[in-house]
Amino acid sequence: MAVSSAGRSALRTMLGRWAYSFSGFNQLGLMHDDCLRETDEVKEAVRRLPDHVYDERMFRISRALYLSMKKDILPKEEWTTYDNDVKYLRPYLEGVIQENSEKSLWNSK
Amino acid sequence: MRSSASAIGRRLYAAQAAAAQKTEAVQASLQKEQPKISKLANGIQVVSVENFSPVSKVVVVYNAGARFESSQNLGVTHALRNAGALATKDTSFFGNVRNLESFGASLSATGTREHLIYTLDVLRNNFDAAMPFLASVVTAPVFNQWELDAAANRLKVNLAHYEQSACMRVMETVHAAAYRDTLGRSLYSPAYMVGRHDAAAMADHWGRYCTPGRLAVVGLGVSHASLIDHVSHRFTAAAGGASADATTARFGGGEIRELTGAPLAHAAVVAEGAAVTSARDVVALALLQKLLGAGPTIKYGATATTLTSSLAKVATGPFAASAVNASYTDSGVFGFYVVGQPADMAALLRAGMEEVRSLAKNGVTDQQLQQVKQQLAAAVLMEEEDANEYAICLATQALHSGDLISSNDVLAAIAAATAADVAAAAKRIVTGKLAMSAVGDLRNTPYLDELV
Repeated sequence: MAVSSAGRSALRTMLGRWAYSFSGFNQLGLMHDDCLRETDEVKEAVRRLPDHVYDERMFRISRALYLSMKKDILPKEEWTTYDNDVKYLRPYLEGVIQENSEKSLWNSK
Repeated sequence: MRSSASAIGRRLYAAQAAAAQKTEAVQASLQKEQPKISKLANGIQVVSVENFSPVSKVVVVYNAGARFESSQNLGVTHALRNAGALATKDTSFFGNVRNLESFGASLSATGTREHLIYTLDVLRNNFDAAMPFLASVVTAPVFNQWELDAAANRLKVNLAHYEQSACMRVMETVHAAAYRDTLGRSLYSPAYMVGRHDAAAMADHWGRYCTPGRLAVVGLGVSHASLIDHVSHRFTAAAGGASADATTARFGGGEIRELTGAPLAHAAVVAEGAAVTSARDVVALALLQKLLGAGPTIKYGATATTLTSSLAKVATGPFAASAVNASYTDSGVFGFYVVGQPADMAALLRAGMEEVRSLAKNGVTDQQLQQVKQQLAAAVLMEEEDANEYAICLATQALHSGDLISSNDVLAAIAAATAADVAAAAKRIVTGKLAMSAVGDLRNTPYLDELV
């Protein structure tokens, strides 16, 4: 049982790695959390980011726009990889989603 | 129609009478209880008084007030009390507000120079439901920067009120002049620090000073066992962090003047008063304060105290004067406060100084002493009627002495005070170093060296 679940998670990692390099955003130097659709929740989470994390995000996004305009990509050693991608927005996003569900629960009472 | 209405009336009266009999029976079975105090293993002092009120009040007091600020984090305690119900490890800001509202509870955060105070009032039936929220707020705040940024606007409103109040400005600046640091730290953040109290600064102050050993929890209208149960189970997250600063307050003296566009002049002159630990001095100065005048005892009435009557002889326009008396754990301020027409201020302040000097020289008469003793005894007992004042008073006693003084002991100490005690207290005031502050139109307000 334990072995099979470890096997499953290894398979997931492998699939994730393949999907990550296949998606292409990493070649523009973006991270996964830079590409989220800007819903109200994501906007609020972005607003809550510490200043330096927000600045890094904006740098990556403007660099990607610039590259995209030039129809160019970064040299391979500057690509983000599955391993150095940081889910920097996740804790803030989870907080916002939890607060929203708490609010809708109270509003439905 | 009429007869049926009167029948209903009679019925209601009868029901009321029956209810009244019932409450009398219940009242007869409720014994007046004395405050109980316990110290938990982690150092939290728990005090409770079962007063059988339908509303329970819990007051949480940390020994973490403005006096513990440093010059780097000035105003951090103002920011902390402004951040009263923000998110905690277990609850969100929204959750705190909505849940406490649904319990019919009210939560407030206040602060003094020495203490940070959280007060929860809640219907007795909802006490058990509301306590976890209070516990989270006072033991596990997380200080999210985005919430602090949003709350900073309220600091600006506080400061705008403060700017407008000459009275508050005089009291803050006279402490600053007297003590410089420690007790001289203002309850209000300087304007330039608003927005600079970041999460790290708040967490640092919290970790240093909001620790179990510096915490007292007082409950009014709760049973002692139930309060202890909640505190010992839920107030466990209170952390012990970096070391606390324990500098003793030193009365240095000096003066601060602030010119404003106000039409009146406000000024206070104080000397070092009594620390709460010296009970004899506290009583003597409280008597002296009553003698000089501590505001009118009848609403909108005149005060026929020695200070007011001697100032009235020299005033050309309306004025008000009262004694200032504040005691802290290691020091205190005592003096007088005058509001008057700008042109009168020199004469008013000189007359005030002369009044205190003559009290120190001539002492008080027996008749005066008896009168102020009665006023003071009444004031002490009336203070116990105010649940907030009473709870905070119990908390400070528990925090600083680990014991409670009964009101009978206080009354006995007042009765035992002599005219010599009062005269000696006045003498110490006139021979001690002075601190002064003045706010308003200061065209004729003398400097401190022109008064002594």
